[in-house]
Amino acid sequence: MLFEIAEPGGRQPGARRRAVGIDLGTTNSLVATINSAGERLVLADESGRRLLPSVVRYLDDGVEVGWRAKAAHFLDPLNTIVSVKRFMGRGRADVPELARCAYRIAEGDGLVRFETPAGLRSPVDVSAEILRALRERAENALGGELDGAVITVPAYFDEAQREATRDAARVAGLKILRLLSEPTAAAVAYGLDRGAAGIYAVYDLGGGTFDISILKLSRGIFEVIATNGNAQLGGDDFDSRIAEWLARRPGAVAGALTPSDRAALLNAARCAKEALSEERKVRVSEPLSSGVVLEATLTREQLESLTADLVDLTLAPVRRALRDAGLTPAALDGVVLVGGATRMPQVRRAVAEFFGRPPLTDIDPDEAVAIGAAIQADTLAGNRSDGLLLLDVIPLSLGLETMGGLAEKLVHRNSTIPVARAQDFTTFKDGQTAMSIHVVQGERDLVSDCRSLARFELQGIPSMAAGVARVRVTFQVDADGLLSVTAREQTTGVEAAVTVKPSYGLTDEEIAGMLRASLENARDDVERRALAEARVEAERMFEGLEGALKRGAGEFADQAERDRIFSCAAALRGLLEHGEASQIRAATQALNRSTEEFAARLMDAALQQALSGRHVEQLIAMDRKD
Amino acid sequence: MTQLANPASILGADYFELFHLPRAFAIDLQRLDRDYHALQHRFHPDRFSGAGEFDRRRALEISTHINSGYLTLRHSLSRARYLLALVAAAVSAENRTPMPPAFLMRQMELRESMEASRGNVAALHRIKEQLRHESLTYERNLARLLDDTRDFEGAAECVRMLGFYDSLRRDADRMIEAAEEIHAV
Repeated sequence: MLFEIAEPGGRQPGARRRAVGIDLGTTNSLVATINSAGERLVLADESGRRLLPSVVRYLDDGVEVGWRAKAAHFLDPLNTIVSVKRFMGRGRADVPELARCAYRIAEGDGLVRFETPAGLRSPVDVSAEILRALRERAENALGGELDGAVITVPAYFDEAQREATRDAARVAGLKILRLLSEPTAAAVAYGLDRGAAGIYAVYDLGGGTFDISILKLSRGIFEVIATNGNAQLGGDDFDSRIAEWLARRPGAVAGALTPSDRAALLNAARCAKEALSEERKVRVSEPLSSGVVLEATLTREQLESLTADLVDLTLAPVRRALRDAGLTPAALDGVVLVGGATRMPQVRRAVAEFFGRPPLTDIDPDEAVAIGAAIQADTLAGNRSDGLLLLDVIPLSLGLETMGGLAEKLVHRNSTIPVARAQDFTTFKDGQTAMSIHVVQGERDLVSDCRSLARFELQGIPSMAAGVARVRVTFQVDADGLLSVTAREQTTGVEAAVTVKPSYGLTDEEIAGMLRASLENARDDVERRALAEARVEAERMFEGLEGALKRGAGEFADQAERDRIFSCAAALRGLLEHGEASQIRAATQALNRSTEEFAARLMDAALQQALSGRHVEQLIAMDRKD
Repeated sequence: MTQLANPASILGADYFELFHLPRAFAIDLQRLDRDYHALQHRFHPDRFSGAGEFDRRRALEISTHINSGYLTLRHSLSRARYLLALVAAAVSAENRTPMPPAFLMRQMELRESMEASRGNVAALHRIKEQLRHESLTYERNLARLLDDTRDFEGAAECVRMLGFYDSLRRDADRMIEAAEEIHAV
């Protein structure tokens, strides 16, 4: 059997693969590798700089990436794209920042596209420019074409964001060995160094995303037990707070600020934030385009009160991850800090307070993720065979839309990947020959509150009575956390498959706080679910009744009976829109009772035609089969 | 470690065979963890990243199977359900006798006390602890019914009772989360 031949790590001797790990960050990106001596190297540019600012500037005759683009940001804010990671896998409606960012965004639904001198560019294109720059840097350092790369993504990235990242790597001409969660990568870099064993939390606050992962480390195995986070929260938000504060100082009339001024204030804010990790206070002096020089002094205490709620926002995901893992803070063996924003003293203090122990900060928060990715790349390329194994999880539940706009979860959050789940669904209407399948991601009960990932249609189901067809929907999530879905009608073998590509159309709030919202509305959800179910039940009742009457079943009822049925039906119809679940249920039951005798007579008639059944709906179904 | 040299036999194996465990409710969880790691070490898709399409596809299937087996056996309720379906499919599928009234009363009490504690994180944690304590009694009972007396009818009822506790626990978790969110805002 073919399978037996391929042994793990089996390679021709001597041929060392050129493999790198890439941390594609919101603010900065890095590329790292492991050399033949087993040393970890973060690769630098010709000036010796290891960070590459994740900034891309589009010009009439080319593209600038990194430091030069960053330096030009305030000169050319319209064509210089920063923090593009926040737009990855997102539709126009999904990104709250779009409203206040300077870029010109192309009209239309769906994907965000920036209007640049080089033409329309998507976030995938912009990210690909950053990846291309890192690829060139690595190829120069390693002396040849790369055999493969591990690229990191926030643990809390959803399907659409992961897909977009993979697309960007393809555009940049990189062979992806694996998409790896950032906190898992950091844990590898940290854990392998120290031979750490036990249960660790990785608190990763980057430029634009926040992740918390709880991992079990033992003998080269890094097993993620639970992960959580906020894909729209990071150091950028601290910068914005400071910039907003600066814009309120005397001398800066907010309305008169140009895009260049805003870019300059953001830059000043970032510098001030970084300085305040070392200093107690910092002076800001920023010349504005109006000629006024904005002067201000910001203290660490002021910064902390401006951003206290942002720090608090990170703790809710931490609590959820611990609860999903079934652990208390005291049960952990350590807490590792990753991400540039964890340099802020107020973040360190909050983490120490929450976990009741000082966090481990002896790992470089900027470089840990790239190094961990490089170690994994080295393993996957077959350069090392020390048995390093990473078992990661899926961060958000995956499900399907069912009747009444409800989301049925198939794969639950924090399931170890790869994972597959199958579930049978059936047709709702008689003679239904197609079933539309809507794949969603999120924790809420209602589809409209989850992220829509894909829609596809299973066609060619043979005409059968409602509830007879058996459609088995299978979700397969691979080791990159990417989903593929197949649907198959069991009796006929009709099949449809789809690789998930994002479908857009949700509002920003729904996505930004999907999980958070899930909790705030936990109670509301239960009621809305009950209401949706009651409505589906009522609609079913109507369908059955109308169908029966349409085909002349009315002659089986006398006038008084018909009146009673119609008045019950009217009462139900009146409640359908604005009634409460309990009212709709009661009215549905009343209508059902009013049709009991009528249904019994229909049944007798049907039996005489050698049919069998008990309910109006089933009778109609049988009629159609004839 | 694995004697399952033939991958086809892995995909065909039931979860107890997969992890070399006796078909019983009481299992050695440490051994399960150890064998899980060993199996993933051998079959995880990462071990086949340089292999051909067929092998990679196969590794994905096998690794997925190992994960579902581990998940099923790691938790007592899913393990009991799975075991019942293996040894007494007819019992678990058909047994729909009503639950004892005393049990249902207790469930209502628990639910009421949860409702009364809405918003009170400490009280909800105490209820969760109570739930855990009570369901342990049923689990011990279940081990006896499945492994010793082999009373599958009784075991099926016990599994359904534990299902009630499981759903209460989930609801308690949701209520704790909701309460924490409100405090955080």
